Amino acid sequence: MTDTNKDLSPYVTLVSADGFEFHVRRSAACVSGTIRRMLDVQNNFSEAQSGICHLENLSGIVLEKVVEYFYYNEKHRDSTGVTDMDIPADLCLELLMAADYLDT
Amino acid sequence: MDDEDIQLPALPSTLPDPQLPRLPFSQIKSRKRFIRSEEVTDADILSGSARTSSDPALFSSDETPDAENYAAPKRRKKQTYAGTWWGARMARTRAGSHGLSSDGSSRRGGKRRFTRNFDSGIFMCSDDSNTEPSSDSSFGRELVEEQKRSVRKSFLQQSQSPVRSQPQSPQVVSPQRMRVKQDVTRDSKEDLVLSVIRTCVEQCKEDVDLSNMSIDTLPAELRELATIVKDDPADLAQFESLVARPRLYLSNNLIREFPTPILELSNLRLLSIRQNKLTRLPPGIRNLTKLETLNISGNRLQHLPVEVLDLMAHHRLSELHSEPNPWMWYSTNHVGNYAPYSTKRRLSYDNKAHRNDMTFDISAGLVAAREQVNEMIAAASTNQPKSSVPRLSELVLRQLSQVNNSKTDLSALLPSDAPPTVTTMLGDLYTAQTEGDRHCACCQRLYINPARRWIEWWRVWVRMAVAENPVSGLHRAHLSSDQTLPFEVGICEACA
Repeated sequence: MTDTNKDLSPYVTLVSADGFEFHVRRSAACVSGTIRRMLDVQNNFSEAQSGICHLENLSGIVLEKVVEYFYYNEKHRDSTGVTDMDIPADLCLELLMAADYLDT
Repeated sequence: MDDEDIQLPALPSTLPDPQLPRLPFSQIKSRKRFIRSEEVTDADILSGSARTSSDPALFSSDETPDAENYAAPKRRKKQTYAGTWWGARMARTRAGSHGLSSDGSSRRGGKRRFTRNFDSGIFMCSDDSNTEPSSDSSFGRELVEEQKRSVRKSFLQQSQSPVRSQPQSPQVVSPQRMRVKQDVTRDSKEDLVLSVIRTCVEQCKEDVDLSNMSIDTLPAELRELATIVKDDPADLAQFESLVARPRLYLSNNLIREFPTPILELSNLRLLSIRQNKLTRLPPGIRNLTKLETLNISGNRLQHLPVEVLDLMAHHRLSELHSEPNPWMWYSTNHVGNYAPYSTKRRLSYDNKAHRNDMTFDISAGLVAAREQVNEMIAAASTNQPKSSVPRLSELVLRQLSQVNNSKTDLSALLPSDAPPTVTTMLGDLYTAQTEGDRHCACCQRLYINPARRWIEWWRVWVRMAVAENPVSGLHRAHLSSDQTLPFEVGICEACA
């Protein structure tokens, strides 16, 4: 167990339904509760071993915005008076479904 | 011996002939038989089959009237007269109808059914009603249905036995009828509300009285009240604004949810929702900045939005009638270590603020968290590390509330297999939009779901109504009283 923890790469790969791959820092991806549970070694999912998450119900455009939110969240976690992230209106409903799925 | 020769006299012939029937015996026998037959009839008498006028004898050995076999003597029902002697007829007929209705037969004097006689037999002919009654009017529709029903009923009665068809028909008919009746009353109620609003708009009246009308919602036409312009020359002389400041009376109604059309009447001077069934006030009440008097007594409010406190502190609200209401009251285990709203607030009015006629005081520093309100949010926030960045779903909802200006319900746009949590989120967004935006108590940022919510108790000195005694002419000016009221405060993630 300790060996696998040491071997954990600081980056994980998120793959969208249409095949786009996003290499994201692990700490940022763990903002999402779903991805955090996927990558938890104790849960023994295959994603934890390989470090690759296939998100079959997110398109590439939505996942790009989600990843942007991950970094936005990580960057501004402790700062105050942050302006809200810009979200395009046409992505709102899809992003809402994605946020529900990813538990963020 | 001669004597021996003496012939014995012959036996008297009168001696009873042995061949003769022995009378007394036969007589006795026959009599006995007769007596026996009489005894049989006596037994019959005792058994009660004989027609006798006297009652059967009662002996002490008979069954005593114990409590077990006691049968209540049938008493004749006492003649009851309700009220006066001329009401005696009423009482007797009522008793008769009760007796008949028990066996369920539909004889005369049975249970009365309230039926409306639609066809009075009088044909009222107007110029354009030469055909059958128009089906768009509710009464016409009702009449047509009633006619159809009566035709069907008569057909049923002919085909089936009348005993079966009779009790069925009212059960079939009644629900339709009830619905039709409710529609009629609702339509007339809405018409009444609309007519009151229109007369107020047309006559430029500032007092809009919609009390005692059993309203539960208000029509969107209410916003026309904002267009009233005063035309009183006396006001012109005093260089007052010509914009009317309407007073809206909604007391003694059935309002459960605060009617959102009111929130658009920013000129409102008085709002009375006394004796209704409100459970909460929307935060959009902050729009009513000209409000001077707010009467919310006799509702089911547990707390007020903090916007009411703002109205009192920064705007004109000076008269607040809040009792009776089931206000939340603090208990020591509710009190948490939350910084009071005022210290975080930019436009701080300290722990004690003054306006010319009012004083605010946070009630002994009591700021309590309300577990029931906080439950869901606390559960969500414990899963995640504390962050000043809102969740992605919250961000999307805020964006949606800015984009969706038409305030439509967006859940219709979702695919059919959308998870129910998303649908509820959009439902929350819809209610938040209709009842006014929610703003963070600290930074005034718009939010949909607050990061934290709690209850603060503020002691408020408010002016009571001016009491004037018309007899003595005594004028008791501005009684002030202090009330401690719970206010709900919500803040966004950045301020939490």
